[in-house]
Amino acid sequence: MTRSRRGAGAAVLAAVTAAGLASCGSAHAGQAIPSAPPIRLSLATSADYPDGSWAVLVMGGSTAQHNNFWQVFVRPGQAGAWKLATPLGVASNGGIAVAAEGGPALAAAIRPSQNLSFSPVASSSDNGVKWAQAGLLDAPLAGYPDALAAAPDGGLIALTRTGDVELRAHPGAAWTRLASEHTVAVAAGRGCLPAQLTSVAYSPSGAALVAGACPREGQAGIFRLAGGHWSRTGPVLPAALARRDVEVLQMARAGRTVAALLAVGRGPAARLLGAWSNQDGTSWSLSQPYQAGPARPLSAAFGRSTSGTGSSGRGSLGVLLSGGRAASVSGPGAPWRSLPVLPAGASSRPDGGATLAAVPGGFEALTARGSQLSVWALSSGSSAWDRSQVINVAIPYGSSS
Amino acid sequence: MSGMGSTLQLTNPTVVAAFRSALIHQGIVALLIFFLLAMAWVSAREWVPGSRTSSGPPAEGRPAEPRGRQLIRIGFGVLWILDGLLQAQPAMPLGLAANVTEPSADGAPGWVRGLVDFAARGWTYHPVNAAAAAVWIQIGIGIWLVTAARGPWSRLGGLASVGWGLVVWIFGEAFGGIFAPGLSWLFGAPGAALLYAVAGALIALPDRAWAGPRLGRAVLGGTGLFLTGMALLQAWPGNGFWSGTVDGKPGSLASMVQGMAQASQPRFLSSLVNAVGTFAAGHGFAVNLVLVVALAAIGLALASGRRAVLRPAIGLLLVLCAAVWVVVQDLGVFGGLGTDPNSMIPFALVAVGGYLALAEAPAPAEEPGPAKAPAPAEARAPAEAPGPITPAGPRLGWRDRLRPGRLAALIGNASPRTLGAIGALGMAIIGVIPLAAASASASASPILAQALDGSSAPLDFKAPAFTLTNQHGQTVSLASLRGKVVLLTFLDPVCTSDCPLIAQEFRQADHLLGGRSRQVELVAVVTNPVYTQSEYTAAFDRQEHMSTLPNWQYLTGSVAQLEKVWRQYGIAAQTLPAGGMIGHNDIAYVIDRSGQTRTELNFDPGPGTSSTQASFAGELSTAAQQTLGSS
Repeated sequence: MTRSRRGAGAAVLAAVTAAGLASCGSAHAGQAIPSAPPIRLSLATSADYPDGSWAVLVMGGSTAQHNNFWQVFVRPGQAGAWKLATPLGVASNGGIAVAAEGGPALAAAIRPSQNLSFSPVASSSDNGVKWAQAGLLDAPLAGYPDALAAAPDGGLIALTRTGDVELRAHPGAAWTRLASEHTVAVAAGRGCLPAQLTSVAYSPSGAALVAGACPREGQAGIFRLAGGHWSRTGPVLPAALARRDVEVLQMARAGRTVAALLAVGRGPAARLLGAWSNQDGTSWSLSQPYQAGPARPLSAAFGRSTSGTGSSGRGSLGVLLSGGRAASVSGPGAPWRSLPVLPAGASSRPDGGATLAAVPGGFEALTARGSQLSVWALSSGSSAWDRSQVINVAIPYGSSS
Repeated sequence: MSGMGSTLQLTNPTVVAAFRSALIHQGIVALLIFFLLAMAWVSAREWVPGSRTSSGPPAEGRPAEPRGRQLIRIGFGVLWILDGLLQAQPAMPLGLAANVTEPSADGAPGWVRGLVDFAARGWTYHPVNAAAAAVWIQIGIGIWLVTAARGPWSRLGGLASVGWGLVVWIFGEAFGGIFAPGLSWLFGAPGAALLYAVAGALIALPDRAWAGPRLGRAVLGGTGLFLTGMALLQAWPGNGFWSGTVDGKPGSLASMVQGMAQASQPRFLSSLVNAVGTFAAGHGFAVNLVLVVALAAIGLALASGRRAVLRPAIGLLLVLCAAVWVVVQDLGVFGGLGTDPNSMIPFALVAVGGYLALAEAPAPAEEPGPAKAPAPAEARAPAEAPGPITPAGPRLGWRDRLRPGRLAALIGNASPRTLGAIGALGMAIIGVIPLAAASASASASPILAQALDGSSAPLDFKAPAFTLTNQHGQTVSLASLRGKVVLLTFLDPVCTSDCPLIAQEFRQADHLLGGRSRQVELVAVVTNPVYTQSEYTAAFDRQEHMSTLPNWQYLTGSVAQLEKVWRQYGIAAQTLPAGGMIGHNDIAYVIDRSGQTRTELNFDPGPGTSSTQASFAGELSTAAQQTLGSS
């Protein structure tokens, strides 16, 4: 072989080697652009229950996730003031789910964090003034706002991270598995397989309801347990929205109804819908659709209805959106109205640091900035939120590091 | 307090002091080795007739060491010494695995990360021994290469460089990043340590390999091929080197350079590096074009083997290496934990060594064929000649060699350079032996626990009695455990941070105790005044897999009962507001078979890494074994 041929061969060898190295060591370009992801609400939530209102949101300004702690605030009875009611004795940096058990009784399940893998449960019989140990959910509570619900007779139902629905029939009873995502979907018919469950609730009549994503277009995945059998009971969407993905973002009992927030479609074109059931959760009515545009829904607040029949008795629904925007709808068939935008910088944490709460006469907004909670009220006819209360919370930074 | 866990800073004073102490002690032993060798040499020369007049093999008839080999040998010897000194940085024991080796495997395939993690685990379990070993091994190899100029000892030094270089390349540099995205000669490909191994292999070659032009041609040809390949990689569109900025952010090259500018270094250097980074961000295409062309031109010139272009190509390569070393690699030692001057100096040494081997070799009359290339007689002679410590004469068995008279003759006839090489080998072994001994233990070094204030204090008082309920609902009293050593701690069953780690430390301690664990009871008392029910302790046991330990007792009781035990054992349990978990001391007591409290261990588990857990477990099991032995 002549020297020039050897040189050419060497160059080819180098090229092949480099090409091989480049192909195994370089990033691949031209990957497919994924479709818009499902909407995921924050874990900030609230409820209007017979003895008052409660709200949960995260506080603390630490960049370390485990140094921000979820707090429970309660506004008991007709009192106009909120107060801190976070259960003691366990770190709440993973989240808290609260359910009203009737009267002033509340239950709270702690979402595990760091090295804890189960969810302690606490109960209060005095609107959160004192909490006591109330057993535990042996699996971690799911990371959805409405993963815990209380039955009218004191039972609890919980959604776990594994997608199971667990039942505690009465206080002191052991938790048993009521269903899994798979069994719910299979029992409800092939149309919803596989359903990803996101919420649990009890209907006013005591029927267990679960909700989630249903992959079939136009179908809302709300399921009801009756006679040991799950059936899909979700609302029928208007024809104009029937060919889009539907997600049940939140579902909770609201007085004498069960209310849900639905998202139809994905991305900026998604429409939000309020849904309200009758007392046993078998039939549903819808609000008009609302297009939030680029704003992302963060949390929903359901106003308690005082009557189980007729649209006039249904509770209102408020939705907090990203950018401090908010909107509400008064009930089935009603149009949405935009609420004033929250003051800029009211919350230091975009996810979970703010929520709307239904209170007698309307909504209030709770926002956390570091260790300070601000309550914002919307007086009748006002075009802006007014700060009505400030609570400074001693955040236990470092207690979980 | 539980949940207030401390972290292990890289310059933790306890670890730094232990590292310094190890270096001083091992350094004294190394000096002692050199001193003893010198004494033996002097004595042997006095004892053995005729040896005083000779200091090594006669120089006549032996050609001078080829300049290419000499450059590589001394150059890499100095580099190894420099690397060893860099390994002596105080932060190295705790910092190397976390800040150097594991990041080097980012983006690499799983099997590469697995290899690096395996080595990092060994380092983190015995950080002081490992760091000291690295210091002495590298300084030892460096001295070995610098002192042993010729013969078997010199070639053995080359092999040592190959071996350790490959260890560092694989486990410390994750194969120099050749399996990770963004491979570039500028960023250190193919890894400095691989070049140390290549240099070692060149040094280890027999003298006859250096006698002709073939070795130099092969080195330059390989270097040229490599650079040509690197030019193609630099030009590969998928690697993103053509863009100065991507989405408004600096591109691959500019971000690397600007990152270097952030490192702690003299201001003039950071200004220079920063300016280059800004220029690269603004003119990404042009900068990369120059680099691609330069690499390809140098590579092809070297691969061609034409003497006419070799000299300018080597000159250009040296300029390029110097520029990259300063403005891209930032001299390799600034910022973070620099362990070597990076790849440019080793690369230049190998290339120049190859050039000298080719340029200074006698030009053959015709191209020699590989099989019948006759080496010059004077070049063949040294390879066949005995090494400096090998006596002339008939081959001897090892028994003959170990006879006192023969040994004395061997030592007395050895050259000072050979003695230096032997001493350097001893120096490397000084580092290896303690590391090997420590690695034989399943537990981690106790220095980690001590660094986290895992101090222990001897005690001697009667352990306060208690009667509580275990996780199975059975009543357990301290008196009922009489006859066994009790390891007692206090855990919150719904704790999110420390308590699960402490449980795992107890579990590991039980494993370390082996068969003796039957004589030891592991006892924890609930330290949460809110969550006291046994269903929480049972859930905790399931979570931590403690249920499988037959000697594990997790005790609870009424709040009044628990508070009494806490008080008696000096446990402060504080209920924190606003979602904080219970704060309490992390502590363990060792109670002997007769119920006397013998030791108190501070048990704040710190970051809870596998190494710190294993260290605490070792401390606990050692305390239990000592109590078992004394009671």
